[in-house]
Amino acid sequence: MASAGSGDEKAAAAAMITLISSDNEKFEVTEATATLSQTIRHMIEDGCTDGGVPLPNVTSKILARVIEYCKKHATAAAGEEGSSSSFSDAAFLEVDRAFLEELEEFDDAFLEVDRATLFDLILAANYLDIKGLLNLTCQKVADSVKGKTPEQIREMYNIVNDLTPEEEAEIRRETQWAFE
Amino acid sequence: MASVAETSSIPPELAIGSRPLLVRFNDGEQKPGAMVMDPFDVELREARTELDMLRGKECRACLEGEWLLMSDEGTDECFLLSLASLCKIPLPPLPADDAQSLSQCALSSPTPADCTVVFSTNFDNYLLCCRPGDEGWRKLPVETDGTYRLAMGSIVSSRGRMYADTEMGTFIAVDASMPSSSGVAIERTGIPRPSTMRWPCKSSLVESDGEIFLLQFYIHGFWHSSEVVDVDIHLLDTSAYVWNKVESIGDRTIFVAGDNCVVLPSASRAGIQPGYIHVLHKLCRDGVRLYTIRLHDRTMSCTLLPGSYDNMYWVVPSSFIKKKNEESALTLFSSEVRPNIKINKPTFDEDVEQVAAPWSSLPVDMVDELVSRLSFIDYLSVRQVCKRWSSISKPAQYAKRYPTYPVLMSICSSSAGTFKLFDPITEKEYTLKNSSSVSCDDDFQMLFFAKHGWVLVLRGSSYMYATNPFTGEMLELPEIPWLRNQFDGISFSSAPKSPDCVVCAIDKTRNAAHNNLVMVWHAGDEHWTELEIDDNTQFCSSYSNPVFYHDEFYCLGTRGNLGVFNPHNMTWRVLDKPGAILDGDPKPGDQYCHLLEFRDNPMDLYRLDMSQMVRTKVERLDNEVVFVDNWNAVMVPAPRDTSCNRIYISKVGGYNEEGESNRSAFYDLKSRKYNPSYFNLTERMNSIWIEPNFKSQ
Repeated sequence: MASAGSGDEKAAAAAMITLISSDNEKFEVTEATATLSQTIRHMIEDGCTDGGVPLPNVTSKILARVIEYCKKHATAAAGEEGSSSSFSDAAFLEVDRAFLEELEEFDDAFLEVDRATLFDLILAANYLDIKGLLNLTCQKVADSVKGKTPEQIREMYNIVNDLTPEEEAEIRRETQWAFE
Repeated sequence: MASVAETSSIPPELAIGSRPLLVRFNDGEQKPGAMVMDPFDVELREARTELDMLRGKECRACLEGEWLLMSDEGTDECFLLSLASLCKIPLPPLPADDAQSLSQCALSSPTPADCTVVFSTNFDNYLLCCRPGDEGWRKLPVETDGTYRLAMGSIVSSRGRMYADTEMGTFIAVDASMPSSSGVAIERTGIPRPSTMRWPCKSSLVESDGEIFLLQFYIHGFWHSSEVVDVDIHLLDTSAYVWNKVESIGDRTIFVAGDNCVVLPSASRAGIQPGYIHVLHKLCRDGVRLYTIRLHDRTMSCTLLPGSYDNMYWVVPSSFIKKKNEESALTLFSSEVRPNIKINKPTFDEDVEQVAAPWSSLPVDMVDELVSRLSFIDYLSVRQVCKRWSSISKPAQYAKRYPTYPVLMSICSSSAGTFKLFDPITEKEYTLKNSSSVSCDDDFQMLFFAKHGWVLVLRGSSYMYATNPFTGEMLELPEIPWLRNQFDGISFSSAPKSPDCVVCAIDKTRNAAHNNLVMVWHAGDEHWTELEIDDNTQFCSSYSNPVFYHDEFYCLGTRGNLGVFNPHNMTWRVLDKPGAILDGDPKPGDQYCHLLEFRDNPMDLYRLDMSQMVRTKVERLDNEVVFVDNWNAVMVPAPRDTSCNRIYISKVGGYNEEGESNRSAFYDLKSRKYNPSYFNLTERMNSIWIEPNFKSQ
């Protein structure tokens, strides 16, 4: 998939973008990787990426992880484009499926993080507007709260209940049940 | 399919006593003898037993899980044969003139050499009994007032007493403790039957450790496509002759094949899952259905055994129980039911080095993003977490953004007010408690109809109430007139607390009397109004709820035609057009009325154009999704893109040993297939699709 493509692709691959984290660390990535972020894509389109893209909301630790995700998925996107032309080719489909499985495994492993990191990843995915990453991280949190009581959710995410008893009663009026 | 070992030697896995097996006799078959089958085996292996002793004989019963009572019409020979020990005990020839009326049979003790064999009979008002060594059978008259002839069914023995079921809704107790058949005497007649929720209902008497259980299996649907949908259990107080309802059978496992039942008294020691009932349901067009009912969480699943035959008996000999100490792994339950070792337990849930991430400050947009992936139940929980999280979409907005869709509701009879909701889209099941509405402590309950978040519940045989489990509202309906709980379908027009609500139950009798029995309740009425409407048409109501459409109740007939009841002028008419099997719910405000044909397989969907009264077959549902349970069908706009073209059924997949289910089950209109496949799905007994509604009336 990552085979030498057309000249255009080569040119695109050659274009590098520098991302600067909140703690001033610089990351050099291909444009294909960077443009998974809609935010950065717009910056590139507006031609304001010279001298690097400052990302004051993202620490180097989180940015490194985000780039790791984008690199993997940029390759996947390229692979999909490459194979779509020869869609009937069974061998290609086979390769595609294997690749998708690999991608799924990557995503699973990627999510093996502590809750603080997960929190930062969601914020970063939101800020950088990376749909896939936002999906992935939100689903992770959603899965973890499924079937949990409000108190269990608070415990899990270390949240202090700052609702007044009146507010609580008001919200609870919506539902007449409790979890068993 | 069944692979048949044609040799006379039985493979070890089918050796009698190695595991619970089925033996079947096929009268019409060329080759005589019995087939032995392991119904829990995925391959359903079968083997033929070439026992000369069985050749040319008719099997009358299989007693105590191993004793065959065989008779030979030609030679009059009659004997008991143990399948476990091959021990044969001769009995006197069955009287030829009684042979036709013989019903069920039981032994007074599990050791046949020293026991009395008792037959119940049909319409002859006597029991027939003998002991091994007797000259002949003895008639034991059952006294009645002389006005009727008694049909008897199940018979069972316990500590020298025998109990027989009669069709008059009562039981007979017989003293068989004497060591001679002349000492057998009727001890008591007219023991009242406990209340039966609904018909049709098949009952079985079961004895274990001196206790007598009455199992009542509730059947839904037509003769050959009927299904077991529920069960209730009563225990006989043998001193007062009173039946008491019980929820559990303890450590027992019960095997039922018609009137022949076997109990494993301590199943867990024998390596068999306790608290299960395995019941054969033979009235099916597609074969014999084996239902496995798990009493602790009131779920069941069904597998299909090949063939269509009578004379099928469970063989679970008493020697089986003694094998309990052997380490021979009795893998009665295949690996799919066994708990998988939990791999991949996410470190996420365990991480302790929790840097206080400010989750409460998660942007509201993100919290909304979260709840879009959750069931409305979780959404309501998330709103209660903290101030910021509570400022996500208000319920009204939420409902607009994520239109509600039905969830599968079932009540847990074991604990009061507990019910389960399964969300078919997020595929998560919730156990909820609502002390104010569904109280389940007294009688047996059945869910019949749901609309606008309200569900109609039949409690016992004569009470009904409507409840909205989402708001906790409840409305008691008047006492149901005698026998009128046997309706073929029931529904209401609008939310039960609204002033224009009409509840209507319809029962177009199946017998020669061409009457339509209608029961109507208008909001505010103190009693139900009963109507008997002459109807000489061929219309027979199907077992599905009427659909309220344009101020009238549309009832589906067995032949696919429609009958219409008008609750205002209390009239009934049967429509000429159309004609094929349909069942459904109209889409509110839609010009069309969606009706469903729901058969076992395949499923077909029809759209009814009310202006033309013509029906067209629906090949695909691009924007809608249908939910079907035993009684109802509901169609809603597809809540997620992926769910269109699906017909969700009231069963679930992915059931695990913790009693959780995590897969929806549906019929895919596009591929014309069930997903996952129909058999082996799990069903919570008595479950119904209900659309959440949080608005109090």
